[in-house]
Amino acid sequence: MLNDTKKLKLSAQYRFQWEEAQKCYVLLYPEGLIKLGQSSAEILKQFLEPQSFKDALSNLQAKFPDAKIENDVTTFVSHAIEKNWLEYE
Amino acid sequence: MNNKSSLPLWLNAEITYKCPLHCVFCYNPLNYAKHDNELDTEAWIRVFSEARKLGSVQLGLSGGEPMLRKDIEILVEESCKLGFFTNLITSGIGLTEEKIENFKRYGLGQIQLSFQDSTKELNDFLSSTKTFELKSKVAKLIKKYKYPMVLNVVLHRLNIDHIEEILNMALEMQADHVELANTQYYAWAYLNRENLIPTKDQILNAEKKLEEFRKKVGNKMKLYFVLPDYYETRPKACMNGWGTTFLNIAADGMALPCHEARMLPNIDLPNVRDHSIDWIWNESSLFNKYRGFDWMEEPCKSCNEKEKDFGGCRCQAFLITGNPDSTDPICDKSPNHYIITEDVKKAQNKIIDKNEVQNVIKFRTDKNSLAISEKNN
Repeated sequence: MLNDTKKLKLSAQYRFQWEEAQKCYVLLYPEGLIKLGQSSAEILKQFLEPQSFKDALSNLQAKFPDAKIENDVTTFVSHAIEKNWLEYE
Repeated sequence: MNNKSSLPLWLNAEITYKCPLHCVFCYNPLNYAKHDNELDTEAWIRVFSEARKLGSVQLGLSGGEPMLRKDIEILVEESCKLGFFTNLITSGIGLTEEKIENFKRYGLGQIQLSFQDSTKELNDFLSSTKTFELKSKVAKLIKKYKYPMVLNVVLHRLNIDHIEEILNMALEMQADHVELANTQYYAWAYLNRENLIPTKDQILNAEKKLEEFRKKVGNKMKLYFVLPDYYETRPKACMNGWGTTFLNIAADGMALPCHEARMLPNIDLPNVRDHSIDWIWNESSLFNKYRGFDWMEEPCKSCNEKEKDFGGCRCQAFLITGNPDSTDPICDKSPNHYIITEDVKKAQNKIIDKNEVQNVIKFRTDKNSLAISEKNN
């Protein structure tokens, strides 16, 4: 289960950056690369500095006020934790 | 076919062919000692910068032993500044705590440490210097400075029976990723393959030990075990397809689609001293030679698996059949597959005396390299 008040951040092994040649954000790790879609990138950006899920969600909601995002963000963040892209502080 | 949509995502820079080790399975060219005209610092930085613009994102700094370059710190720092995820692929020799700390500050992504074996004696024999203790020290420093701990162990007939010790060593070093890859038979390993191909029993035993270990430690350590491809019946998708992902620059500036391609006959090798990375990747005849499927001969041409393995490895096809356009003989659809099965069969019956083998096996040394170049001229 997602702990929504404990701070989460991008795992030390991963690097998040914009790739001009591919026109997308990527996650880099030893010898590998994951291409990110726009929404995944928006979510991960929230955790470049440690932040709780709850705060990240309200930031994202403020950024996209008309979208119903809670389910998608929850699913993605849970997946990212499982994949070890994000870790609790 | 000119496949402009692909990007050289992986740039491998063999910044030097010099190496303090003398591994019998080294993949550097047999005549490496002749190619000692290394690119200078400025040229390497230009290569990094041009490749980065073209879309390269992972950089391997390898060799030889990359730590032997006096400008290694500059190369790491500049590559990180350019936005590469930089991977240092090293035996650990020359990697001091000061350097490890500086590399971390520059933003080095990982240090991949290669081990030849887990017991000191065999390790020293197979790399032919006294290095094991040093590597253990380096492994601790890699942990201390919070790099991912990636161990790379090349397996072969003479060390595969030690797999349990190797795994326990990895556990003790708190390795995050362990790659136990059987030797690929190119260059020095091809020369020595008679003494390096493991027996079927050795492989089965290694797989069993690996399974037991996996059960014991769970998934806190990621383990990769790669079979020797001589035991396979389908070829590897070499380099993810020729000229699709991988760009190798050798110490002397030759640009290659893989580590081994400089051995191929009748080809013009482009050099970064004469051409831009963009031209080399997109326009050069070498990088276009085996792109796509138009070059294929039968049985690849009409094979329904060609999009999966791209016909395997051109260098292996050349080494074994003499024709780089032919199907990789690892594939059992190849009419030349019998050469592989005969090599494997020979390995089952061969008796290897560990004292004797030391005298017949060819170590990767400048002397041996020059003698081989001489013979082939």
